[in-house]
Amino acid sequence: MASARTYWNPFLETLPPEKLAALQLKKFQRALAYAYTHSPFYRQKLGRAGIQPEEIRSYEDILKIPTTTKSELQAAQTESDSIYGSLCCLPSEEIAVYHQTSGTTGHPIRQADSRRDWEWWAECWATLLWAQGFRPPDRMIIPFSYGVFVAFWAGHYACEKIGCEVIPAGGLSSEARIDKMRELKASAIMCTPTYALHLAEVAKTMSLDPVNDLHIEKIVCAGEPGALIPATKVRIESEWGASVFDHAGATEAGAWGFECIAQSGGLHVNEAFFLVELLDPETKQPVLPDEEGELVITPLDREAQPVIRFELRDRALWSKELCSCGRSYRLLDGGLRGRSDQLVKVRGVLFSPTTVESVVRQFDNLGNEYQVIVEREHELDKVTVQVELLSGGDSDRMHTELEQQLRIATGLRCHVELKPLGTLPRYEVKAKRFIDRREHDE
Amino acid sequence: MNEKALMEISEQVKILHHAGDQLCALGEAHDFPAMEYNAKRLLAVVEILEINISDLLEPIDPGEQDAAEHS
Repeated sequence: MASARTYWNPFLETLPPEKLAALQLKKFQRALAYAYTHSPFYRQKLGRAGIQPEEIRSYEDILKIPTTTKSELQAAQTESDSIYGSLCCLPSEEIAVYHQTSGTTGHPIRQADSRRDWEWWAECWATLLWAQGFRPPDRMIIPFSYGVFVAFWAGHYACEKIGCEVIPAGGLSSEARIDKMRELKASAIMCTPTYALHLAEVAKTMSLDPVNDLHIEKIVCAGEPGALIPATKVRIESEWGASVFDHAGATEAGAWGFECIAQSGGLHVNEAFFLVELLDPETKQPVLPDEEGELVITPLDREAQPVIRFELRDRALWSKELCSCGRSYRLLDGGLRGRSDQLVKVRGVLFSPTTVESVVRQFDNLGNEYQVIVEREHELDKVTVQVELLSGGDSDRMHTELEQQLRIATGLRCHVELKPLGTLPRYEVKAKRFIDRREHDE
Repeated sequence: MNEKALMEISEQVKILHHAGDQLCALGEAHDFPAMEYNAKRLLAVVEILEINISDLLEPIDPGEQDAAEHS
């Protein structure tokens, strides 16, 4: 399926697996030595573990290096008077840009990036946009607030790099963004899956048909795993009549994963730029090829604030197949399969809120939003799933069907609450649809 | 594209890196911020070219980055 100019970097993206592994190892060794030399945090951490960088000569050796957690990064910054704490490798005059994590789990991490890092961010995004078929003269609208979260900033610069015109649609209402999209004939959107659905909803309230009036051809989603949840992907595609592509990244790590134009049901790892490991969360050893593991990542070229073996807490499974696109970069089957820190025990059963999404989004009579609330009632855990019913829907039938499907998918009895359309919260970035009230109840 | 083409590209990238270093130093020496800072930006891009190409061709010595910085 590969044709001329299929790949952003035809050398790296098609390297034979053994050469790719060798490249990753030597780049990992360099990244480790750099962190040891320049990062007070890693010098101390590796010193405590009794590890000298030159001792790391194989992938098996890499497993000896302790992983890095988000709470360690938080502590390294909150326990210091300096902005970036002991994580920063460069003097302040070498820092080009500041971002921070969204802080959904504790204090936000402040992320320093040098000039080179910022070019590198755009390069990672350029790789993924090219793989998704973005080319000049695509005109990309980015309905994003352009604030302290890295989110789509690097995507913006990557569009410039690959020659796609950017419409920076920050500081506008959703209605104004729809107007801009129409006025400027945007051909593509870059946003979260949640916001893609929300924008379609807003267009309809403006008496516009997103498919026939807005003519969007491609949507690149990031920030949440929804674009590879089949029911959500189908819903976004049908709302817009566009191809929808997933992308995964993290402020601390970079833009590391992408769905390519072949859409083979998985997420490529950009393995020339990142070392991704799937580990058993208890033993911290690699999982077997057919087992789901927790993602641990090392960006191999980061300069100002590198991380080594950083625990992303996302769960994933390696695909057994290589993608038909011809890239040798491996695929994560089905993309990200939820977050370990959102995997909660309810009535003794492991419950993943993302399972609810795959059920809710299958129902045509339900709106795009939902909310999951777990609370304690009479000493028992109770799960409530709030959804929005579209007008004209049969509420009794929907109630029964949804409860049945949720029970099958989650193994739990879920109480369904049907709400009028437009009453649940809407999000632009990082939707917060899971509320666990049990800690407060105790 | 073959390894010969890769090496040719890599040679050009080295020349560019050297030129960037020189421009940066000249800008600094002559109190010429426009030269110094644009050259720094150029060098950031050149390093991305190196990530794309040079790492494939040249064995990486883990200490090379430090050595380059201290030279």
